[in-house]
Amino acid sequence: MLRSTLLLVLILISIINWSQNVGINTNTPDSSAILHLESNEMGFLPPRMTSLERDAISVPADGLVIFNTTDSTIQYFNGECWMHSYQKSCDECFFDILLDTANGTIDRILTDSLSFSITVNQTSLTPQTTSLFLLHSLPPLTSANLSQDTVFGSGSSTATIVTSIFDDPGVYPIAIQGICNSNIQVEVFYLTIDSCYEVSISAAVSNYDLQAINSLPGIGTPICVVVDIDPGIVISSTDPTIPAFYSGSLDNLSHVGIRNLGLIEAEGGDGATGGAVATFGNVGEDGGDALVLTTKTTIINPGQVFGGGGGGASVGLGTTFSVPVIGTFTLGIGAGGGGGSADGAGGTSGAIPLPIWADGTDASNGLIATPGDGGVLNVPISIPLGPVSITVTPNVIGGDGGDYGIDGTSGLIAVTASASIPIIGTISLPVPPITVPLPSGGTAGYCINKNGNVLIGLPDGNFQNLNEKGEIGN
Amino acid sequence: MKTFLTFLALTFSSLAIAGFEGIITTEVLNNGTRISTTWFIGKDRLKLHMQYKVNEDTISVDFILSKGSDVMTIVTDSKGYKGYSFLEKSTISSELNFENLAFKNHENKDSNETKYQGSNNKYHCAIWILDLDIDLFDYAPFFKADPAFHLIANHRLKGFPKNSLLTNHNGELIYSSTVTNILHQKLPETDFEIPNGFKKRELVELEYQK
Repeated sequence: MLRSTLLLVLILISIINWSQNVGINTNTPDSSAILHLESNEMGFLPPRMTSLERDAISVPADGLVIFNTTDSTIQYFNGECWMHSYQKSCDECFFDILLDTANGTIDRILTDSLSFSITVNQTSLTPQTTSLFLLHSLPPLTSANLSQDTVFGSGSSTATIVTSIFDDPGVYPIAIQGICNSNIQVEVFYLTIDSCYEVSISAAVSNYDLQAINSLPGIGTPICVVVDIDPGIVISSTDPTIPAFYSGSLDNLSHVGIRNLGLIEAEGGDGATGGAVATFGNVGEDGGDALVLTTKTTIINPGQVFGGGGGGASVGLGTTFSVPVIGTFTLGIGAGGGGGSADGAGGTSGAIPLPIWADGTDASNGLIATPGDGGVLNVPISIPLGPVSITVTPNVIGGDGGDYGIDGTSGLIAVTASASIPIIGTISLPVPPITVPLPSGGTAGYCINKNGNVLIGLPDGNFQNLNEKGEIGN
Repeated sequence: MKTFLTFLALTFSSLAIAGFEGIITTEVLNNGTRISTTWFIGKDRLKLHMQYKVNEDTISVDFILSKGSDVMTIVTDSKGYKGYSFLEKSTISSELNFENLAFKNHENKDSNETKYQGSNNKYHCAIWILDLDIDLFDYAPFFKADPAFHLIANHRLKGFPKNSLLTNHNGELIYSSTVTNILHQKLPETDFEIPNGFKKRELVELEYQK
């Protein structure tokens, strides 16, 4: 009985002591701790539960501690939410950024762009918005854009890099920065822009064949090549059938970049010559193409690219007049077409000259070229026939040459005639008009003949502006 | 020559009574080219016949008129153009500037002709009108290159121009016409008709060379 009473007293004393300041495996619990555990072999084990079980705790006390088996972290209730030990506030955002690839190359031959995927994995308790930013020092004509610049919770965005054939080659880091609430994550993508061949044209040249003149790799070896045409340089052609600038025999998967600060001017068509009275003249020669592509091309054109103007048509009339009082007389008359810009020659009388003929004039060249005019016959011609005199007044005009990028025109034939008869006087002779279609002027050459290839930098269309004259297309 | 003129004068004076019908032949010098012309003068019809060479082709032309008509019929017989065509009076003009020729008459009382003289800033002109019973007034608008017809029209004269002379102020002969023969006879209607074998043609027909 005594032994039992003594034990009870000891327990009570212990309980009284423990309720004050309890130490386990220590006789001197820290005075600031209500419970002081000491061990070199065991740990403290709080209640272990899943997030679901944790959230089922009704009215958790502030400071209540558990071990969350769902995400293997110690958590405590701060009176508002269950906090991780490292968490600063209830709404702190936790996320990672992952790239599907950390580097890429743009060769500028087959492609001028690339894309990579950015995945945001958010582990926050509640989904939040992550803003994405691309931080870089890319060259001036290269752009980087995101398919979406925010991700809510977890998700992805695609970054697309588009470069230009004219930008400097090199390796360019692009930082992908994600900001969610007060947290920031950064990943780096390394962009490599491959180099291209470089060609500079700094002296006037005609009939320029890019591949041949520079001995560039031909068919079978696609390349990219950048051509710089210096200010004031004129690239011309000597014949309308030869382009002023021709990509030449490059592989058709190649990519050409042209940065033109000069003048690329095609040869204009020659004005038609004479000789063809059966068709009332000849068709004017077609103007030449300024630039003919044989592969994908990108152009920056602060300079000028001018297609050749068509040559003017010639006109010719060989006819026998049957007239009372006189009988018959013949008239051979005609005029040449004017030359198209640039440098189209005016039409001459040709191999079988008509007796009365006016040459067309030549076109000039250069930035402000003047196309040639058709020959003009409008001075009355007096033809004495015995005592009678015939006066033929022609209105015969050869077609005008076209300015850059403009077709040559058709000519005009009209004749009035009168007869001076002794005693009677002068009678007007009603010459029937020529109603058949006259030959047409030559067609203008292309400003840029795409020749089935892709052109970047200028749209299709027919232009007459300071920089482009003629059609871009085909 | 005097005998011939006396003969003409006597003939004309006798014919003036009944109205002239017959054939008058003249010789014309036009800008240095000599042309023989024949006037067939009917009651209400007139035909001027010319024949000349153009290159190697001899061309025979008749200009046929009816009083009161605005249309002249031209009958041409040549290698290159055989047929007849019509010419409106309004389409005839003259390069010769007769408009302000101021004529004055100096009648010769001793003969049956009257001399008219006129001049303007370009020409001097002298015309002798035979006193024949011929009224060319209606036909005058069709003969604008002959100063005599200008005189006849302006002075409403009867008669026929025996001589016409037109010079420039340098004395160069521009035009002259001289009657060489007058034959008084009744003319058959066929003289004023289009001969058989002549077809209507346009004033200008073109054949383009091939």
